[in-house]
Amino acid sequence: MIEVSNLCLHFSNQRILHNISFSLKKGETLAIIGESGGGKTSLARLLLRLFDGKPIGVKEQVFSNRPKGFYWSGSARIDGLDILHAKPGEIRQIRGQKVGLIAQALSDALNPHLTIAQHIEEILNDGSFEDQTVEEIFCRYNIPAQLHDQYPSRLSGGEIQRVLSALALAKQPDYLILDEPTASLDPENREIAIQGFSSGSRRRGQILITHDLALAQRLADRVAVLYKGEVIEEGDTEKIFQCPKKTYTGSLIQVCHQHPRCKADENAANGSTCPVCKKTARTTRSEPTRQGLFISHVFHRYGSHFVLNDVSTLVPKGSCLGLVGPSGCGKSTLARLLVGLEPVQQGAIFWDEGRDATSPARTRSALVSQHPHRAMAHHFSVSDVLQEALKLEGKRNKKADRTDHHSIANHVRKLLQQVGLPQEPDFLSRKTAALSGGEAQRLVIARALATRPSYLVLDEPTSALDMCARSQILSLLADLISRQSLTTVIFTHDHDAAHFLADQILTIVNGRPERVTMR
Amino acid sequence: MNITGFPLPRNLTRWQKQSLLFLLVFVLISLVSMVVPSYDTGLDSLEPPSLAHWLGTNDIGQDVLIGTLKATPNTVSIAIATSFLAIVLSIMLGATAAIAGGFVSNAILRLVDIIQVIPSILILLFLAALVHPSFWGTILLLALTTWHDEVRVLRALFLRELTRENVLYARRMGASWFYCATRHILPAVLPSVLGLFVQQIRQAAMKVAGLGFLGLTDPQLVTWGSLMQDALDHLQSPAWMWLLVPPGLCLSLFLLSVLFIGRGLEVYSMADGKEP
Amino acid sequence: MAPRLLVLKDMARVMVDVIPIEPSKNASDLVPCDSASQGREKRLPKHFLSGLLSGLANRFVVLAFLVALTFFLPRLMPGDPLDILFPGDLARDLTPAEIAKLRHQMGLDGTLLAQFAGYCKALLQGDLGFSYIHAAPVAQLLASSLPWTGLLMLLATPIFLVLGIGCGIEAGRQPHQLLDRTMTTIVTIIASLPPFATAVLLLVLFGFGLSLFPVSGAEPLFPSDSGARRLIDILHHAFLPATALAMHEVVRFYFLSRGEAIKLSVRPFISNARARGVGEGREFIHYFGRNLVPTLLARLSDTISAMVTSVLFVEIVFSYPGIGNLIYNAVLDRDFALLQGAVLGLATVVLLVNWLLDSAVAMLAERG
Repeated sequence: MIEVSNLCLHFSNQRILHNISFSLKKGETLAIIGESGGGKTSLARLLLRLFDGKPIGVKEQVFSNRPKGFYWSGSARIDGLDILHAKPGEIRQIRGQKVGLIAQALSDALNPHLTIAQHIEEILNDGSFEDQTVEEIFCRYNIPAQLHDQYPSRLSGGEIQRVLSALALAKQPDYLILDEPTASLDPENREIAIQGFSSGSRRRGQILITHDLALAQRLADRVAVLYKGEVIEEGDTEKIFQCPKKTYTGSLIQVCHQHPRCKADENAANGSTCPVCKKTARTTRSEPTRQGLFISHVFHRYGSHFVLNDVSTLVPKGSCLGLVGPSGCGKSTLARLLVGLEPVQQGAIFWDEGRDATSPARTRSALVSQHPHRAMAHHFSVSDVLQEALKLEGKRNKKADRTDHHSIANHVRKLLQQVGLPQEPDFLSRKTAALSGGEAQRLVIARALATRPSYLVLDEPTSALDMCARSQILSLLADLISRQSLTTVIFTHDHDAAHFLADQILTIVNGRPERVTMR
Repeated sequence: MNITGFPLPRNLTRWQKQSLLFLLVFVLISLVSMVVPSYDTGLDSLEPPSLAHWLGTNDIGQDVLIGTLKATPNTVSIAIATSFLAIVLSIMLGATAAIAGGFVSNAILRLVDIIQVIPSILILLFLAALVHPSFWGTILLLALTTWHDEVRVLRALFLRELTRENVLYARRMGASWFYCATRHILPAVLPSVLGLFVQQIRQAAMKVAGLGFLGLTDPQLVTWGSLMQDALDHLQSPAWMWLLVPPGLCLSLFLLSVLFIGRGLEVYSMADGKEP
Repeated sequence: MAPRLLVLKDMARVMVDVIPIEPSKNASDLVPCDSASQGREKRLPKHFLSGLLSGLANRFVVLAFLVALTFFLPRLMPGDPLDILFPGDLARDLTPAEIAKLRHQMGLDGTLLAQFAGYCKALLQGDLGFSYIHAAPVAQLLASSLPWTGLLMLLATPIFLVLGIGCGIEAGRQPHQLLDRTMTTIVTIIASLPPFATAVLLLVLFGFGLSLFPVSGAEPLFPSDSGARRLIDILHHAFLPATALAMHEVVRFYFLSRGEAIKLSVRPFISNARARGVGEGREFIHYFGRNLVPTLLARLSDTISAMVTSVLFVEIVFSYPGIGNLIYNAVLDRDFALLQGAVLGLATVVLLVNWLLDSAVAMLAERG
């Protein structure tokens, strides 16, 4: 039994978790959902006391000028052991034995200097589990023999996931904490992993920490919604998903609606329940014309390796092409070619038949990239960013009116309004480094619009953003595309985003276009 | 209110206050050192601290307090000027390597490699023993033997800024290199360059002291290091205490305060421009 | 290699700007920051041999430069090179004929180029010159003092490696805890003491004050006949200087390994291992230790350079008969022939040793 009551966690004076209470019996799965930054991972780490800190009384919570460090109060008991006050030795006893942790399957999740077999040996060697052999473990968790003596850097995400599961489950812990266990897996491995977690769920208590609501819905018996460090809602999974009480939960579920996966799961025939989708529902596009962006037989190589191998496609004016594919398939290279950051080695890119699209003098293109903060100088203020774009644009067109100070200020405000950013002087003078990811990405979009581009290239525009910002940016983009009938190419590994925005989707594998899906 | 009575800007960070305080103390000491009696030899040799000589005298009767005061501006300004010269040199080479790339970059990096393998103290020793450098000579000598330390770092820094998207964007929009350098690149690298500069000051101060301690600088040039050298012959007697400790303490305090300023600078520049 | 400011920013990002001020970053003024990555570049398997050779070539260039420097500089100085190269007191009473003879002996007649050729030829034959003050060939003086310097360095190395790396990892494993704060404060203070001051303090405290250790020299005036006794005497004499030498290097390795350990401690594989209940000892050795080895090895060869600098000061303070003292006395006596030869000799040894170390490290890296 895991019992948590009134658990608070502070970093110095900053509140991370506040009055968390829940309990978990064996055989149950509790999902803790919420956005990144909501304190979910801190909770997982605290249950295993993975950071150092000091217990404090409830009254001391508001105490200024504390030395930096973690402070906690309340109680958390795992089968009677008081986690918050236990000695380090006691904690080490329960780690792995009683409570296991499966974290995100990043390649850095395993020690880069130990082989897979050494990892397994390591947990078997501490005495209590001599009856199992390494081979048995490999067998049971489906780790192929050729991986045994490999170092983790050679493993794929799915394989790392299996090794992590094997390591966590080998000692058959009574409780298992799953911290975004499927976040970096491709769909097939994700499915395998989910089945693994659900098959053993009756034998142990599981805490699932995720922002993926579909996953929570499938695995969890109960759901707790964590928002800014507090549990704002808790209850049976079905109840929460059908009639959320809190608006925040509602909005989380709504964001999830944009996932086709969720739609399928929910069998939501009435798409009208989703206001976001309705708002951005586009009118049918005009018939394909001979106008637009032509990519014709583009090859590109670094050294002897072909990054792009005969890519040809047409993006009709006013439509949106989604280019999807795994990382390393040449997407980013193509994006850089499209906006002229790199010269085309072989093949051609045209705008409107005959105008070389990659030369900035003839065609205007704009790039919105993955990391908005890297796309802007961090010592610039918000208005500096837009003013620079407008001034440079004005200089290029030799139009005097657009370099005039007053009209530029007006223009800046208009652009900000277009992307839904505030226009107060306070915000205008803010440094870009101080913007949140979502705000910064909006600003980059505004900067792209400032130059009135013929077409817009979006390179993973949402992958560095958290859930809410992601859905906001997606609907902003959808809105802009439909209202301004912008020609857009979106490069992404996020199928949902591509489906949401694009009219046709081109899948690239190993630098080759594989298949086209129309919507 | 602040102790100086000058109207300081209101919301100074702790780092700015520390640096200001440090600057103030240094300026005060330098001013005082100008008005104190000259650093003359006297008849009272190896006197322990007394009312006449607050920090005692050395073996030729020079007052240690006066010596320490006089040595402060010398040592500190040599350290600062040296690191300034060295950082300017390494910025020039680092930026050249980053911009030119290819052959030039390789040549510069190779040069740095070559210079790095030799303990600079050997060259320093040889040159200093020959010329017994004075104030400017010491600066030049030290700068020429330390410039290579940061070239690699600066090259990486410039390279990163040059290939950042904001610069690429501005270039594609038709901005000149001059515009990019002054508006985008230099402001972005400035905090890091300042950080390196402050660290170089520490190193330079240590080296000046070392040269002085070995008696390799101009005998006329009083530095903390040359004062400490006086102690070397009197380790058996209690005289080492007043000969070694005052200049040694000054040097250590200087190194520590530069360390704190550098550390504050890092925190300060971190708060200013976060790289997500 | 990202500049340390940027590394800090990365860490700040990981720890959500909750990290206190970072003393470790300032350690990089004690150690060049980028040599790790530089070393790695050099050690790519395919460039293995060419890396070694280019390292050797670099060192030859340095040596050639030093030879030229030591030759031309005294001759380019205003005045008669004889006055500079030959200690003034001895030359005062010489007759013109004797001076001419001396000039010939020292290779100071003929054109500059011819002199240089003669100088290089002599060097290649192992003739580093003759010290009139010691009345002995420079090579012989070097040969008798180098072993003592080597002994100090050899004794100091295990001390600073174990102390510096051990404490560094222990502090960086759990950054900003009491242990880390205490140790970092102490090491920061040591780092702010110039090496000669540390040496003097040790000498005064343990040598003169407590009389636990001898205060000068490498051996008693009359070395004992018995081998074992002599060894003990030598170690007794070397203990304080070696400790003083190690002190400075401890600082470098402490900050280096602490900084690296802090970077490691926020990586997921460490917290995953902790969540699995991996023991402290195993965590220390296999998780932190193993992952630090490449960085530390890459640093080992520039440690030689740093140690040569410190050993100079240490030997002077302890009047230890090593090469540092020899050079210092040459400077004091204005014995240029000796200074010239000693600088070249020491440089050769240092370059050779750090090339060997570099190669050994590259070899290790090659094997994996």
